[in-house]
Amino acid sequence: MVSEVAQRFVRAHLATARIAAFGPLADGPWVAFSVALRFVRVLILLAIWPTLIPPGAVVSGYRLGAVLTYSLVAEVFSSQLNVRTPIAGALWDGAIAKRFTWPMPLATQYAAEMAGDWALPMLLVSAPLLLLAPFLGVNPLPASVAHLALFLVSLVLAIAIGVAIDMAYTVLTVRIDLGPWVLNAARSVLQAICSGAWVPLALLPFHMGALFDWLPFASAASAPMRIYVGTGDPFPLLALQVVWVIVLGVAVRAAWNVSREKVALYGG
Amino acid sequence: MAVETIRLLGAGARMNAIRILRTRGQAIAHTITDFIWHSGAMLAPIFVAVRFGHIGPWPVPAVVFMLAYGTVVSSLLDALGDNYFFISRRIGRGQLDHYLVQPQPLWRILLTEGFNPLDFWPTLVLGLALTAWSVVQLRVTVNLGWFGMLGINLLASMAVQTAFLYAWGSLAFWAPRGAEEISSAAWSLIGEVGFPLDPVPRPLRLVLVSAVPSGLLSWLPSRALLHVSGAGIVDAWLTPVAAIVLGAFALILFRLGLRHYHSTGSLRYTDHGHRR
Repeated sequence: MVSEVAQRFVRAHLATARIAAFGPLADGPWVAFSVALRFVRVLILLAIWPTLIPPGAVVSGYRLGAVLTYSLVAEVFSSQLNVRTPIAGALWDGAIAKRFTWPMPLATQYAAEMAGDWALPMLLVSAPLLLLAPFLGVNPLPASVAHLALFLVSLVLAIAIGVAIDMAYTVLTVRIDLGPWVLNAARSVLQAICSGAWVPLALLPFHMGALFDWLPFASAASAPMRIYVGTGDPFPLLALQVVWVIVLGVAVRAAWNVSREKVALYGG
Repeated sequence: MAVETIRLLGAGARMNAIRILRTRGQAIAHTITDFIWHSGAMLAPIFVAVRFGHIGPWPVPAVVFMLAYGTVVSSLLDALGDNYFFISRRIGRGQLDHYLVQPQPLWRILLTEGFNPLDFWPTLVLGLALTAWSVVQLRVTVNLGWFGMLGINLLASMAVQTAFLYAWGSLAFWAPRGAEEISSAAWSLIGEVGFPLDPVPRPLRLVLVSAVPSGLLSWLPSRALLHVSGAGIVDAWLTPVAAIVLGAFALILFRLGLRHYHSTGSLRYTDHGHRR
């Protein structure tokens, strides 16, 4: 009986992810814009770093090769390191109303939809970037096989923290009753600077990285990347990630439970 | 003609003020988040520049100037409303009909609708203040001619961005559903450059000042105005020339699309009024 329920649960989420995976194809060739955007972004960063870090020099524990690998792999996994479920948009256009009737928890159904959304960008951007890395002068390999294994564990934890942060923003949006894009703007800035998904935190000035390392944003992006390139001790990073998963999971769940009655739908 | 345009801009400003006064809390929240968004977008490149003391041939104040210039461009465009950002949606959803029935020429409606000068002044002031700070730090020789070039380049950068979005947005005349959101997608592509492009390989740099002219929104004008190493005397005129060329191209495309629209109308709605 229990296994049948579990199977149904998994099947429902896989079906949601599968439907979402084909969603971007409905936009036709315009999907090429976001693809081009990501290539441009990483190519600019890969061109900038060699002007800042001379070959052979070590800056805050990073050699040029490690920074280039960091930038490229961070772009490959950019969707996973900067988790955005479609829930905020659904709050605004009213689609969330129907989702309350689905026989799945709200957070996991939107997480499944988000995972489905990753399929096409993985195919069109992430895979080609990894294949093209040697031609761009970047070694895309992790520090070691063990680091790769620990990176995968850390990436799963990072995604879980990202979903919890996303739900926390959703709760905040509901509580202050503003359009989701209002908070989204501040969130984009905060995460771009504090998460390390864009620039390694150790390369920020005034030792800001040492502070940001302890925040959940860093556990959602910087931690797996540091494990991948071998500039961080994996076990303390993983331990901090586990702590954030538990703390945020409990706190956000409680916050959502006392806020869900305040959800206001606009439609349109 | 000018009087009527100014009257409509005044009406927009008045409505902007009324909205702020009637929804004070929300208006303040919107203004603060817009400010954080625009100012925060500058922070990451500035942090990198501060950490290393430069980015390529650009010292920190020059990087600040470039980003502040981009902020001034975007805040001025935002103050003029969001038509340039949503033009493909207006066309794709048949909302152009709402404009065509108004007793005003289309260009005036597109120029004046949504004018909201009071929402973006904090960002504009920040951009101008950082521009002034970096000019002082760099000891740039400032005279009337330099201010003239700054003004011309600012207008040209705004024109480049508007023309780029209108050119892509015009596709919605022929593909109203598929290209409905293409203007905002094009915006995300053009608005990406936060670093000086000098170290970028030449082929990509060429793309970024032509086909996807992000470099014309802040990098190339700043490079010319600050005489950054490698900038030539003609660089200060490249953005204005590009604005004229791209503007003419966008105008031709838009007029062709409008002619098509005049014969077909909106294809998005069924006879029962449902959107396809």
